[in-house]
Amino acid sequence: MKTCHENDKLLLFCERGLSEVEQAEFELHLKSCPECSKEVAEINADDALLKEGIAEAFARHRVNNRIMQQIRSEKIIPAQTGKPAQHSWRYFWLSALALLAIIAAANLYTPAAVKYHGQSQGVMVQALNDSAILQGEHMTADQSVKLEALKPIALDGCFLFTVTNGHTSVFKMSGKATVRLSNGQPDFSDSEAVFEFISGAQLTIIVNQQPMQLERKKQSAAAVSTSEIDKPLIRTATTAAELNVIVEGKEEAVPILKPAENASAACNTPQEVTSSESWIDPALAPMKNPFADEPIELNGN
Amino acid sequence: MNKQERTDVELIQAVLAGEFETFAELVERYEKLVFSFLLTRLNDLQEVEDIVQETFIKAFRHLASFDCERRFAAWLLTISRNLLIDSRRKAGRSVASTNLVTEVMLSDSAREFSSQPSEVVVRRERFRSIVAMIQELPEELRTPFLLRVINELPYQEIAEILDIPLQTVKNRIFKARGILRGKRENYENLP
Repeated sequence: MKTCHENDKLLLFCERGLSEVEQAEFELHLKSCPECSKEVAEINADDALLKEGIAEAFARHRVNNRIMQQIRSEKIIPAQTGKPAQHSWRYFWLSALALLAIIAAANLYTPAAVKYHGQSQGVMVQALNDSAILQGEHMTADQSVKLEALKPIALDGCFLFTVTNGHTSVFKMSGKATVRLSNGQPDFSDSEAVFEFISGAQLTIIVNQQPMQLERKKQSAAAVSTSEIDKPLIRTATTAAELNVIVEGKEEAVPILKPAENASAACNTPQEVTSSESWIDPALAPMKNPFADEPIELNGN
Repeated sequence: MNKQERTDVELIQAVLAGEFETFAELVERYEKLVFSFLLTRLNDLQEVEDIVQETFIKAFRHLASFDCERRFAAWLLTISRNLLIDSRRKAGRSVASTNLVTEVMLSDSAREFSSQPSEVVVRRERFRSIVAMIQELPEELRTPFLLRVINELPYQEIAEILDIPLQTVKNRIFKARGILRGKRENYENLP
């Protein structure tokens, strides 16, 4: 039974966990307290014996020569599965560079109209040829403007509209009309124009105060007229339309999308199909390297 | 730079560059750490030797996958611990029950040749009791305590090796000492 009142500092003293002053004070105390002095001596002796005993055992049971002998005799070489992580920055920059190159290349080959899709909201108007007139002025082919709300714009000619509102829809307008934005959608008045759906989600626009639903046409290569579109855009629009027709053919076989369904449902479904196709099967996840990043857990056997 | 001053990462890079003999320096640095880590978990010294050897061979084979941001010692102990678990699983036992370690450890040592037989007996008995007390410590207290006492590592290094906060290391070592103190008192009070 310990009787010394300084006894509670003893273990902290052994671990040098006391402040310098307390450490010195306890050392003085040890000189006058046989009980604490004896216990500190025992702890130190036990530590020394443990260390000594294990050191002796280690000296007689070293296997360093056996290890190197095995490496030499079995001609073991480190598996070249990767490099030490210190080089990881080099690989990071190389990967980033490669990714940038891919993005740049993809951008070059992305059709002009699709470039507007990056916007989350808005309506872009693009002149499809030199005869297109906006507010009485001729536009150059490919010239594009953003349709601002509550500012009616008089159009005459052939224009491509890219409507982005969560989803992106592209349609073509040929003829005369005045257009403005109404609730985020193009509203055509005094229209004598013809509208053709090109690609994207189903869309309802207002034409002469009447809703007009623009949707994909049934499989027909002639569904999209490209006669008035300049060459680069002709290829773009046709390719996009053909792709959509093929997609639609698949959808008819599996009746997810029906013409009778409302616009919002039709807008959501294609995205859902796409995203579900990209899900990764957890069962196919690669096995974790047991050595690379395993945290050391020494809590419990 | 002197070879002996090379860091672990430099040695590892040298090995990966083809200087396989450099691995001996890493073995020299950490063999005792792995040995003492295993010693209080296994009572069969032959098994301790085998797992130490296997640990370093496995580390050598997979050296390229070592994350240099981590401590090499921590990685070695992880491999060692996994091999220990495998070994126990294969053998179908949790902890060896013999006291072979204490029997073998202090026998025939140079120091004991020069000691009186009575001193040898007392010393062996004391050592046996210390090892027995340490083996009864919970794993999370035992490992930092041994790293501190046997390998004389500073708290900070133990924290890095075990990947636990510095204060937790201090608390665990203090707690281990407290438990050992209680056990020592009981041991001394035995008839």
